[in-house]
Amino acid sequence: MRKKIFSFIMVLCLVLGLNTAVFADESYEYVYDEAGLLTSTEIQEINAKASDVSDTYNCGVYICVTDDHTQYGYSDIYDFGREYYLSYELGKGDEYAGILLVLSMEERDYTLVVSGENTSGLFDNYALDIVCDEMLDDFADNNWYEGFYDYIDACEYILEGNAAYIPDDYESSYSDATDYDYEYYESTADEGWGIVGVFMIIGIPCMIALIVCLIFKGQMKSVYKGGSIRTYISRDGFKLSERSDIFTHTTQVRNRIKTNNSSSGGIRMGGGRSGGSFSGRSGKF
Amino acid sequence: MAEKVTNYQCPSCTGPLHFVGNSGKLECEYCGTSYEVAQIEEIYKKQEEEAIKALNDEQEKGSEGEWDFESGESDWAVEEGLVAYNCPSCGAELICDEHTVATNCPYCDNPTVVSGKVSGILKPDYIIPFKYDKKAAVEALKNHYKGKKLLPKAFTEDNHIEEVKGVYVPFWLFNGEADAQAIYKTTRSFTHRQGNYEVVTTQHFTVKRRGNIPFEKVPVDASSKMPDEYMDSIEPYDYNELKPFSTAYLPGYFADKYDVNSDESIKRAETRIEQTALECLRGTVTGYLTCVTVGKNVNIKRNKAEYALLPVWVLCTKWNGQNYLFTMNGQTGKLVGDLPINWKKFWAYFFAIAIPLMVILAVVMLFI
Repeated sequence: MRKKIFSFIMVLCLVLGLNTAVFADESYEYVYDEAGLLTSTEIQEINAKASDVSDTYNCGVYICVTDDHTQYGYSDIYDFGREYYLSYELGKGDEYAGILLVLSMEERDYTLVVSGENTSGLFDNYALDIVCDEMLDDFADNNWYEGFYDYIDACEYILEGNAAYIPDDYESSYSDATDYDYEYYESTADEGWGIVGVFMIIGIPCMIALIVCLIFKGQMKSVYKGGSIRTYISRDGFKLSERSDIFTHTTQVRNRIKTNNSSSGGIRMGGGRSGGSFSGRSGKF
Repeated sequence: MAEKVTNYQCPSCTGPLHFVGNSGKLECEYCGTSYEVAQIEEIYKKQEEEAIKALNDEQEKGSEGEWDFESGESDWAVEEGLVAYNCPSCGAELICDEHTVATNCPYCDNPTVVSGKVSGILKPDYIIPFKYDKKAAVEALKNHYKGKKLLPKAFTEDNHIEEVKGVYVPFWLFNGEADAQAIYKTTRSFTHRQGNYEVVTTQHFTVKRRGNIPFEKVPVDASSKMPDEYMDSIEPYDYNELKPFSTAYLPGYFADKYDVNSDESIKRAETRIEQTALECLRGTVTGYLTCVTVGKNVNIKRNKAEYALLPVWVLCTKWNGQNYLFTMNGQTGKLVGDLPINWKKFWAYFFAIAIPLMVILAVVMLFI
């Protein structure tokens, strides 16, 4: 009886371990690089700079790079950015103040999502132009590290209040970008388990039950066609008369290391805040 | 007229004798006296010689003096494949398969041996006497059923387990040598990091092996009545207990002579020899990540083939219209036999495990 209980507990721990590996809340950092644009060292440096600026101005400065935002069910990258911001509960203070840069590599889309009333006031169209001026030329040349660094520098410049006064002759040079006015947004992400969750709840127990039942079934069969007859090798035994191991050639395969700071291996929407007020911009880089 | 069969009876009280594996002697079922095998051989030597002569005389007679059965009053016992003997004890007619060597008289239960079927060129070279008795066989069968969660309860109740029979099964024992050679393609891999890249370096090798593997007494059952996979499954036998053949080991058990000759059996032996020889070669290829066989060749040199009777406890039972066979190695006690599956129990266990796990998982995920 004790053996049975122990076996059951071990199976349960295995199942929970699998689940927690998939569903555990990872501690969020300022940089998420799904597409592997940055090395680990670069991520650390960018992250440190973003953290520094965020703490200094009590306004989060975030970066998210995804292979393709449409694979998460969002045709508009700005919607994707807002859901991402809400799901991971980004932002500082009561207003959840912050700015999030999202790059979607498939079609080279970008969006800047600004959260919080005061932050939206700071990051108006003129300020967003300044940010875009700093970073978009780097991204156009695929200089990712420089682009992200310039993005954070530009955000710091804005947060210092340097873009408070809009020149009289200001005219936006980003007419092809889409600007979004500050407004309240309700989350549309499914807070439930989703298909994956349902599969886990049904699939894993069924797999375990099937394995156990197949073991029971295997116990019922004991007759097998004749196999190895090593027991009948005579006492003189097996003697090797030829043994040669000849090296022929070498092959090499190089794989780029995907630097991904998320332990879950993907972006999980839902389960965060239900809504918030945002403004922003989206376009192509 | 000399009888063609020999009844093994106790010299003291004429009760039936049977061979007991534990003691290695023949014991009388009535008075309990036990005799050494050599003693009984000596006592029954003359009777056996007469029985062999009587059987051989009848076989040589041919059609001369045969009864004319065309009138329609044929003796039903002389159908093809069956032969008739008279029990020397009670005179009853014993109807046996033409290959039967040892049996019990159905009327007086005396153990009977058809000595002519195991003499001359038909004489086995060896025999391994029974070590496990009927009681042990019944116990082993009961243990075989224990702990089988999917076994229908009614199966154990309707099993007629006491009908288990001890049978000496004829085997060919093949000796030979295998000269095996094989060529393999193998690899070893190493991984290291170079900047933003993971580099996997694979070394490729061509590996050759050749060896000589001598085999002794590879068993192949020589009875078409015994399914080959059952006989394979109860192996191996311990040949240290192989004894020169004597009919004195047969009383109390059933026995048949071979009906599959050595030429037909050798193919099975060679298949297993080839498979094992290649396994031995493959076992010497170590230290590689992958190994693929690209060429192989096995030449088998055939040596002597020997004929032996090996002990098997057999139970054939029917349940739900299907036959189930159980066989136990009469020397080592290894028992095999496929059991029926109660599919209702299978699904009951499945849902009994899956549903509680689903509930627990759902509750856990609610709190994560």
